[in-house]
Amino acid sequence: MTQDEDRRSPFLALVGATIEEAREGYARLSLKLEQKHTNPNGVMHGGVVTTLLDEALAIAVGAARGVDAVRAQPHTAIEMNASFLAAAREGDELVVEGTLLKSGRTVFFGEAEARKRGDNKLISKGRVTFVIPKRPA
Amino acid sequence: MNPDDPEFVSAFTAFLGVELAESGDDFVRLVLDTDDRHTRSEGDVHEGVVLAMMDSALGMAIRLKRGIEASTESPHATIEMSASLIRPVQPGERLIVEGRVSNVGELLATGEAEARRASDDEVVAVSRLTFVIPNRGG
Repeated sequence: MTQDEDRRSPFLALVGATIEEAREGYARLSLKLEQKHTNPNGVMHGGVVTTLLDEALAIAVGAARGVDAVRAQPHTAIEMNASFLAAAREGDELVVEGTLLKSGRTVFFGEAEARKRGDNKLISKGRVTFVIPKRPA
Repeated sequence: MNPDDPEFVSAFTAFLGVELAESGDDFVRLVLDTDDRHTRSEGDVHEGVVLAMMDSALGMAIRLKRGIEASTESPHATIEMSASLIRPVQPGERLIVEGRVSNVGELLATGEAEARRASDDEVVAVSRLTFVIPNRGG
């Protein structure tokens, strides 16, 4: 699937990212950085990239589980960590890839990285763990 | 610049609608009245909103601790973040995020941030962050 804007969450749409590809266990997003994505130092706010790392993996999990399963019981992130290796600035385009490491019945482990389009410089790398919460009785 | 200056809140934080509620010697408290724009496809508030606020709250607290002048001359930057996401937040709820500085050294600054729902004061997420203070001397 490519350029499927309809699968964007409202928050991903607000941030302005594009879903470039989503298939079982993998998703790729991109975002052209604007002034609104920056912190007081003029570089990308860390919250922008953590959002994209998280979302790329959430989409990868969703693509692995299937639309019906996700609708019946949505998965949710419970743990995340990220390293911020380099700054990105207004005008840069980020490409974020999320890949699942393991899909279980209840728990999903994944890793994601953000690179700058063009020189492929690694900007951030993270891991996110998701669970399928038990339905309330 | 001081905490009352609108530019103290970053462009991205302001874009999300986050406001500075309170600040002290080693902490900053941010609030956000969440709405439908902040949500995941499943309808609850996106984790990215909470993560961004935690990063911001501690980054701002470290700015105050270091002093605006030193922070402007040699801006600190997040290098590591880990977070546990504990409870969902529904749009319409008020999120309160407090970042508290643990230590500011010559090279690194560390601290913790915690997010709560205003409605029931339950913890939504906790995190630890490390910032680097680049050496601008060359």
